[in-house]
Amino acid sequence: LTKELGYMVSSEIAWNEKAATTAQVEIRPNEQSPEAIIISGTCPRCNDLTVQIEPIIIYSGFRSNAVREALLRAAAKVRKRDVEVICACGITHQGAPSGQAGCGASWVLRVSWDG
Amino acid sequence: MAVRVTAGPPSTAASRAASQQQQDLRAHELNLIRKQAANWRNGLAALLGLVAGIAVIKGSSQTSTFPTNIKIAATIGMLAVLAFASVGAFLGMRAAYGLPKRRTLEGDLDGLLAYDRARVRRAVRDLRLTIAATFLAIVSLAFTAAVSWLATPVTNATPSLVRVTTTEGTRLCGQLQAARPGSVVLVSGGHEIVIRASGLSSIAFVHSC
Repeated sequence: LTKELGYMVSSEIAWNEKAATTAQVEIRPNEQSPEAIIISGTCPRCNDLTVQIEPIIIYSGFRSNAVREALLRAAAKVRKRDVEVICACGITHQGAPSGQAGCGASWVLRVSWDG
Repeated sequence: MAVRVTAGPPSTAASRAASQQQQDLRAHELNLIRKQAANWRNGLAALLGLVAGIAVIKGSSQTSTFPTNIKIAATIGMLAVLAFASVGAFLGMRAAYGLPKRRTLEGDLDGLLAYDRARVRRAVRDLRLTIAATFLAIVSLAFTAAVSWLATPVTNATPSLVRVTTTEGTRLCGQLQAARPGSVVLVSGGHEIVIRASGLSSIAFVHSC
């Protein structure tokens, strides 16, 4: 599918508010020991469905990503996360870089949960 | 148990880049672990080759002169190296390549995510065990080497020096030159000393005078 709405790296504060009311957010596998946040819903720019799996716990190298890994673990403990969702809808938008999914829009959701 | 969603702070170039980096990390997580595991496995394989080479080339000749208890300790140490290195190499390979397994795959996103995480967790667990096995193999190798280096070989050759005590109480020590019927001859300080058997109180072979 190709859409006339062109690809553009963009973000608007209004999209954060709009997406906060429409997004479906789930913590997996559970809220006590979360490993990932699944955010699904419509992109506030192109109105196409998009899904993002936000990792909370990740295993990586012992050297290069140790700091990021520690940050992710710390984030898992505070049970609150600002997640920047980048549109990854299955539509090819005009002007999109080769192999790039989505319309380029991004919005930020603040996700918090009880654990 | 509730998940709350509100509008977040404004997006910035940095927050977008961080989000993309996290997605990349998630996408390459398993590959990174598998690559690391392959490197650890290679190290262990080299260690295993070294130990096997020593065992085949040197055989038991190296320890043949050791006392029995040292021989046992060195053998146990060598077997421990082989065991740890073999187990570690297997776990390293399992972490690097996985094992084919028949399983029912859930069709929904939750199921796929759970499958993905389970694969990562398994690989991480195997990699950690590989690392532990590597260090245990190295410690065992160090133990075996230390035992071999510190062991004093047992000399089976009969000492050629003798210590003689005569019936008069004189003690003499020297190289046994000859033992004839009725007398023994020893060389001490460049002099040949003949001692009659009737004058001998005791005679003993010694390693040094």
